[in-house]
Amino acid sequence: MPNDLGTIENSRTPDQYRHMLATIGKGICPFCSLVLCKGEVLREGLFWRIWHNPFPYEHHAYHFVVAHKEHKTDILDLTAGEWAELGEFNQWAIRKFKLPGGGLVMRFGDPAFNAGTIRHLHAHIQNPDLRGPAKATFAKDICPRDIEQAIRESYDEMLG
Amino acid sequence: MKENKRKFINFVNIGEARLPEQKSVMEQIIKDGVCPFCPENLRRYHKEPTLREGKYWLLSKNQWPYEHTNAHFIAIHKEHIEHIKDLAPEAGAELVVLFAWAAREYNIPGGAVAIRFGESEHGNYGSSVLHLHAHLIQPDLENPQGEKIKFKIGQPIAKN
Repeated sequence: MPNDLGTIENSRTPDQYRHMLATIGKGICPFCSLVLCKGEVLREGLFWRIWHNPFPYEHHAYHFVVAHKEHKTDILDLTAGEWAELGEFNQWAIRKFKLPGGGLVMRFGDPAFNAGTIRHLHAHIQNPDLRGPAKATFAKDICPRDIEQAIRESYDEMLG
Repeated sequence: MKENKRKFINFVNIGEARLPEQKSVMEQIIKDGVCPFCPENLRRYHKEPTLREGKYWLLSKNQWPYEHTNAHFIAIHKEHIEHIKDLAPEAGAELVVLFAWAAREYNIPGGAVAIRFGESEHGNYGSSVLHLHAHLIQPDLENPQGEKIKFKIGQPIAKN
């Protein structure tokens, strides 16, 4: 069930689901507390931090998260300076890791419309490995309560 | 006009065509040997009107919107570039302004923005047109249950 910090049911793997339960499920924003990336931040600017996504999408050679340092959730709240630095981070990652191609993705607004897991504003820099199909999910099935329950039960069972 | 010095593919990737009419137009583009998004060619192939224009981008609706979307806009970079690393910092700021306008004008409650970039001999990064362009997408949540909306970012070359 969605809350202000994120939507646990949008987790893509059991490991991510377990992590979401331990953070968002307990009222902790993992991007504010840096639970996911502590000690592994690749670069930090005035407004943004970048790290390797610990739950990369399938078939990716590189998958970075660029997250705002403050807990902002509305893309329309970003200033020109913040956008400029985000662009600079994108360029830095592409040049440093010599990314030949891929995609930049940023979800926004009502999480029902973007399949996001964490509401804290962040962008994805994705470089597929071209060994299989690589995608970013923008919307999932409509998830009535019984399906939500089934998802929780299957993940809980997998995690023991 | 941008001369095609590309080693691997044309200005368009016909394998990413989603609809018969789109494929037909792309076949013509390949035959003509031009980039359909370069300003001198745009009106020949792209029939959606320009909604807003800035120094770096033209904003219009996607002529062939993805399935299960309520809104699908594209911002086409006016100069022919194919990789994010060639994007001027000011262009990123302008893109945000254009998409923010579209989100307010069309009451888009949520979704995602995405840009694909680059090319590879091993596959493609999901672009039907390599000329840099950005997407603003609002998913349609009323699509048949079980249908996910995924933004393709990588596809290996099919092995025969």
